Amino acid sequence: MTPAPPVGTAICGLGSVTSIGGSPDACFDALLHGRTGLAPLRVFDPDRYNVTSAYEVDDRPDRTDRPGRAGDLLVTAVRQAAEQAGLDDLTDVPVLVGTGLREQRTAELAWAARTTVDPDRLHFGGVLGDELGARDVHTFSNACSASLYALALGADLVEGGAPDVVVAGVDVLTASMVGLLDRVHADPPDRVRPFDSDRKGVVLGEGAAAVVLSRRRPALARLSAVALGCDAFHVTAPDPLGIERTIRAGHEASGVDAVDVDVVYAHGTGTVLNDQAEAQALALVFGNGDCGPAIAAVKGATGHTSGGSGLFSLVMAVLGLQHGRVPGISGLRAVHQAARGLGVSALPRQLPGHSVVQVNAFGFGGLNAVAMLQRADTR
Amino acid sequence: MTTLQPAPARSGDPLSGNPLSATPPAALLTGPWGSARIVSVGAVLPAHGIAHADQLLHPGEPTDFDPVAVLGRKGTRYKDRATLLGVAAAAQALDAAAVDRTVPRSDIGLLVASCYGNLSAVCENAELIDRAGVSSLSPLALPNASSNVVATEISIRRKLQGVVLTVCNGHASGWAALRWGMSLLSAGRSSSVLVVAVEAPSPHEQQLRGAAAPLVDGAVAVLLTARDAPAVPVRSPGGAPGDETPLPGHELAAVHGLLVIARAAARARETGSAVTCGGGPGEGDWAVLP
Repeated sequence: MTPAPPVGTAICGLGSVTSIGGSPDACFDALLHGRTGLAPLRVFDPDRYNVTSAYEVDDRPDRTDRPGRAGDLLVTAVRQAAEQAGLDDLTDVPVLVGTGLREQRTAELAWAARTTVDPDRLHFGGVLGDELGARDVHTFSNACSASLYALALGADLVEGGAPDVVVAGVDVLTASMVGLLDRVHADPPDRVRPFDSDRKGVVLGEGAAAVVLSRRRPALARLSAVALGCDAFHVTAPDPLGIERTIRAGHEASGVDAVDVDVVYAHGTGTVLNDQAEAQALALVFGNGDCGPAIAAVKGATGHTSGGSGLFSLVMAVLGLQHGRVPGISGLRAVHQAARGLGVSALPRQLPGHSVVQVNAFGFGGLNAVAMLQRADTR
Repeated sequence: MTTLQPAPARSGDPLSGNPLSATPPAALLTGPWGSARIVSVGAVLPAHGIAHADQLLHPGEPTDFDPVAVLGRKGTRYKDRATLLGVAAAAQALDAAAVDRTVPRSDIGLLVASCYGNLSAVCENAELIDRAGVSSLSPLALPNASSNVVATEISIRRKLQGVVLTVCNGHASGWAALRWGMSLLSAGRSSSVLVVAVEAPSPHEQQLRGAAAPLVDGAVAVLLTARDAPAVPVRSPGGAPGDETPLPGHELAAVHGLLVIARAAARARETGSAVTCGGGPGEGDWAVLP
């Protein structure tokens, strides 16, 4: 008898660099051990801001900022993923990059110094071409769900016949985004506390993540669907019903029911509005009777890495599937009322053999994306 | 208001019908990534005498763009110029086709292309922080710090609940957005896609670009649908070459691809003949068939 074909699209290579580690394994280990990347602002003048800390990648020993840092992190993550997948020539491989802030920090630095910027250095085609030889690079600036939006487009390409596709996400701090977020916080948050009753808001982080999707290479895990939707509701206030709609679309497209889902990597930004709306949506889909999936949320450790955050969660979710582990939620002390009955925990859990994982990412403007993963051997 | 086909009649439940399939065929756009129908076009290039898409080939006198007159007072304060131009062009295309009244809103994709769109707000706020700290910022400027502010505003104003994407691929962003619009249609993620490209001049983009040709001030929108679009060979189907350097003397940046296609559609409709147009570098051959 011929075995059924494997579900979805093979994920064949992983890459990540964040404030908690320079590789996927290092990041996952830090998550399991509760380490965070929180540190005093590394290059921004603390006298200019109320917020004092962020989750920055520590790559500026002289405490001086430089243009092109987002591209540098991206190159690192893409190189890791390509090497793991055995993809040694990116010339004709589509590379889809999701980002919230692209190289806007480069623009800020150039404006401050009254210098110029090559327009191909405002997105990532230039750097990925120069460093990795990639010629078919696309930058999607889609707020905090950008990298999962890029993942959806990448999966469509593979489905449509492309042999290999690289999907990546990246963001670094910009003064404008740190400052404007700071301006809207009545009381500056000291750290990210996903689903905590004392959460005060978002603290930004930095990082890049990458995966290789392929029709022909051995799978580390399988991407069974990515559902996309837009609340079209409010710029900064998420709509629980819009989130619920996208989650259910993800389940339907991947052929699973809510009861089949073992683990959810939540968006979990630690803002009052996101976590309330996300918890409501999760309760609508999974119920809140303590029998739903384990809920992970990585931003307590990494900060909010903006457009790269969804794909970073997904990279961690693949390692979680492989190791049968679920990281605890760093920063969670007292569970917020809306999240009670959901499977949130500050402690890491052993979940050997878990097989269906959901990854959420929601963006400014109500841009919702839900990716569904399954174990590599799922048919 | 330019429509390449008559607007469908509105009747019954506005969200349940599929009048796009009942209307006469619109112009056919074909390119390296597939084929789609061009349902309608919007264009706002005020300095070039184009206040509406029907002026694309026959511009009038240069005009000012008064966002309150075009869009109403509500929701126009604190919005940057690129956002308002993009909303205006999108509204023309959507209103001409009435598509968001006739197709489920979750089926309408939105792609926005811009290279310099929000960089003015980004640089301005960063400079304010450098000078006087975050207390000098307006919290209402927060949305403008995100590169997808134009798409967000269009989707919220028109309640578009499908895929919403902002393409920031440098000066080729408009061509890239057309490619990804085709991809969303062929993957079945959307039954219609509105592709919008916008740029707006500012002291900031002038500094960042150096002493270059002035940046175009305006937006172009093209509404595409997969419905009844036959597969057409990728190679150029022949026809007269289109106007590939519209608005000479200006840097069109992300607007280039959309403006070329919008003008080709207008010309194809006017002449009844196919119009071919090369895309940007690596973007292949495109054509519009009447």
